[in-house]
Amino acid sequence: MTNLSQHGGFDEELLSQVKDSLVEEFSEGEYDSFEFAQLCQRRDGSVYGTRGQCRKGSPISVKPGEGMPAIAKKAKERGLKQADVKSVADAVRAKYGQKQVKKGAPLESAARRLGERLKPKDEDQQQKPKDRPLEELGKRSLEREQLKAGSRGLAARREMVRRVLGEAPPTPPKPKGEGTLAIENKIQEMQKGLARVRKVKGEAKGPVAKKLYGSIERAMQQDLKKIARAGDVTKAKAAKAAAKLSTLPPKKAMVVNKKLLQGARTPELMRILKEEKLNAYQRKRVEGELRKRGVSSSAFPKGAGGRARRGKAVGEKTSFDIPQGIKGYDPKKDMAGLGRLIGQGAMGRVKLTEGPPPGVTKQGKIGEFEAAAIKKLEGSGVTPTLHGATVSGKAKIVSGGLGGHVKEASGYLGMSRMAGGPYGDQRWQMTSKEKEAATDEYLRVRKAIHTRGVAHNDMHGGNFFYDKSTGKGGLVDFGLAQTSPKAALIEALGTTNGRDWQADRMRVKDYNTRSVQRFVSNSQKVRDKMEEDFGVRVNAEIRTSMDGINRIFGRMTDQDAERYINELYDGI
Amino acid sequence: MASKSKYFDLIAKRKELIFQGKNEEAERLLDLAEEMQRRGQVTKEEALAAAYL
Repeated sequence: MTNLSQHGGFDEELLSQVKDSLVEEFSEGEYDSFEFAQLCQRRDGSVYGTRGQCRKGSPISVKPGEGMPAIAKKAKERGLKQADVKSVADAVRAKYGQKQVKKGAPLESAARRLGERLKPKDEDQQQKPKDRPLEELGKRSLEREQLKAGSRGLAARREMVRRVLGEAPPTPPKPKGEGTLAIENKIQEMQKGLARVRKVKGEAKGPVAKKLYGSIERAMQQDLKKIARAGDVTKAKAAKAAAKLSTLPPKKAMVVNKKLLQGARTPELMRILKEEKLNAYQRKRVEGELRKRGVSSSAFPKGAGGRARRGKAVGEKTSFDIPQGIKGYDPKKDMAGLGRLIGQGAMGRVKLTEGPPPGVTKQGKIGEFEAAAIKKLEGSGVTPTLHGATVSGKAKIVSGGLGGHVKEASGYLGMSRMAGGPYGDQRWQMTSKEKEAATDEYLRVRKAIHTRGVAHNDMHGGNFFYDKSTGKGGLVDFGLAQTSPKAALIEALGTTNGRDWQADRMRVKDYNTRSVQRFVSNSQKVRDKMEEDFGVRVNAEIRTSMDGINRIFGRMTDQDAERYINELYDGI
Repeated sequence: MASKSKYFDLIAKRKELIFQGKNEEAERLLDLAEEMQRRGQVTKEEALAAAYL
């Protein structure tokens, strides 16, 4: 940067004019109180004022007292000729008669900019835009274009501005870091991979493999084109891409492709089963295709083996136990019998049945522990009684997401009716006092199910039943429940720490009742105790899978969890 | 015969999402359901049926 104010290259009068001009310019905007300490020079040669230090990256930095030789040396280091510096000094001196110009040694563009600013104002005002010097118009245009940075065609417009100014084109930017690789090298690497695939394709046995490698070849050619178009790619990225392409794809692609499978001859499929390393899922696909063609399972050759699969495939069926309800009760028949249908939709129906016994029967998704949880809570007084449940077919792990914390199956479930109605339906008409009473009851209901080792996992206002006349509460919908004291402990701890977001919906923390205060106090004690006894700091959310729960609690037993739950609800 | 209820379907869909492990999406549906309740767009019977589902 050329620090004009510090090295004293221009006389004070000249410098003050420049300053005035800049102050005036800044005053038009929000910089009313702008007061710069020094002048700095940008890369394009224009100058600006600053109260602090000049920005980094400016071409020349001049310290106070530096003479012409030092400035010239710096200019030379940055690719500027000493002769240029001198000619600038001469040009400015000739035009404005400043005798001390040579000390300042500004760059040519800085001098030109100064020249623009030092012109008498009235002369400048009289000039029509079209009469202004090209270089001034160019400068203004450049500034406008810089404001529009990012818009399309900017490079072309900048080039035009440069031509107007008669400036030399900028030197191309240096490569970013050492990792940049020439496109040719990348293409070479990719071509090696392609050649390898072509070779394998030539040696491939059977039409399925040939087709597969043909499709890979086409994909690789497309990638090559993409890379050629992409321009600079770092070495690491290019190497990764080349490695990916030069490695043969997993056999999975071969067997998962439905069309390829269907198009393959039976001996080819038998060969794949025998020779290729398939995982369980791939093997299943091939075997399925063979079965469709009437090949018996006993005829399947033993495979070359592969890595063991993790978990169960999506949609795979398994089973869960349904506890016995009332002897002779069939919920399916109950649903078909007398009663009143109160809700129906694409995913289920709910009917108030006349029985015997009278109650509510639902048809739809039944949770893995739904019936078991209701059965376990019998006698608690806060849940319906289980009449009976049936599941049509086996439970399945649901497709579409990451998989829930419990499995589900379609079926029927009959139960008794709960007193009162959904709290979520009543709360909008309740007073604060009534809500406080309901919150205390909500805590009592939570205690009832948690101390019996059940986590409901969905205790929002719609599932919490409340009878305003008696002040009694209860819970329905155990479809997402887990029958585990550890899961219950997670849900219990989540009451006030936000990890049970359904309790948050009930705004338990907002009601400062005695029960809530007691619970918060107990909660802190239990947390400290758990950390002291087992080094466990539970911060898990509700609906954590049993695998996850066991990982969290480590060596803590169900009995320990029950003890902590009792301490948590002590005095409530 | 009960008529089709948007609220009932909303709660049923929400439950399916939870079974799929999509808890965040499910909570958004519950927000919607609670808003319907707050505005009085849900009958007592619909609320009851959805609770038991």
